[in-house]
Amino acid sequence: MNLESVIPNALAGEAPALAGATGTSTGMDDEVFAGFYARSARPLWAYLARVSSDPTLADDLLQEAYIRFLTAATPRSAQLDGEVAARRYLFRIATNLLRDHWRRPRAASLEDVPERHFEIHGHAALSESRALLGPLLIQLRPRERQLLWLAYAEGYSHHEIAHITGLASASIRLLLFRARRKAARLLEPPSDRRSQ
Amino acid sequence: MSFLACPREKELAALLALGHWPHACSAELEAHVAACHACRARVAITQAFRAEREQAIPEPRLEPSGVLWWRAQLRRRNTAMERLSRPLLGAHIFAVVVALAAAGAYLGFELCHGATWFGDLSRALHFTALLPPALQNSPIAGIAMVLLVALATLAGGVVLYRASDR
Repeated sequence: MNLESVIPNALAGEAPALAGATGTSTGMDDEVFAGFYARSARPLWAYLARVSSDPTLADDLLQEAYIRFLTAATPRSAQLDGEVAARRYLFRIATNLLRDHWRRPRAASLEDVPERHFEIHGHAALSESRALLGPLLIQLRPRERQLLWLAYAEGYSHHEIAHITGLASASIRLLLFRARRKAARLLEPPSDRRSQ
Repeated sequence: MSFLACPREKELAALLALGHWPHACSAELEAHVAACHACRARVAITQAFRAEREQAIPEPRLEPSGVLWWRAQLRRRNTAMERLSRPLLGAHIFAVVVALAAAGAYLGFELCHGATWFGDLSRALHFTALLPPALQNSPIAGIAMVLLVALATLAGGVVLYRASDR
């Protein structure tokens, strides 16, 4: 069945609102959301893909993050502070989804692993070959990747990172310092590492 | 306690955030960065992560925003429906429990006061014809029949509820 026959203009970003004047608790209508999505989806995907090292998982979590963003009762501060706060709130949702994914118990036996899991690894390997920082990111722990990405790729302050990750601001300072020291060591050429 | 290994890191971080490094900064700062291990590390990490971000940005094939919008609306509606139906289910369960308790109390009361109409009722409605001949004249035949009919009614209600729920 064609999606357009079920939802008129869905693919053009004009799906009808089913509830409320704006249809969401974020105070966005569909046009504002389309603009916000166009500006924020790719950076969010990059964050999820590089931190998780799994582009397929990033695809899934990206969609889930936006759906939760639209359905959740957005904090008043995020509504008042505009797009910057909305974006930060979106990163926070995505971070929580990543954490939930890592906490979930893994499949116990090979029979329990779904067929698509094997495709994921093929895709991930392809992406890793494209990633400039691939070898470095693999050697870092997920929490370190997350903090470094938010601080240096996205340019968030310690306070903003604390808000996104749910950690204390003072802890961010220390964790980021350690992660940066580790990353700097990994970025150095092997000859420089030996000389220190 | 400061985790900045160099006092000039803050200045450098601001320049990096604004994109002024290296072309819009002083030669003196450039010379400092070349000599300072901590500042050099910060520049290397920032540039590496920025380059990685630029590399990753065009990679995803994104869903149209309208699809996500529609799915969010659908989820909101389903959540609202679930929230509405939760107290209704509670009311159903409460009503069934009260009805069963009332029926049990009534039956108990009647049995305690030597109700003879159980036997008369089943005989009047010819329920005993459904029992084997050996049990038809038994003193508990009436009660057994009433309990059987009550159980059948209850089971019918449960089956009906499960079928409508599905």
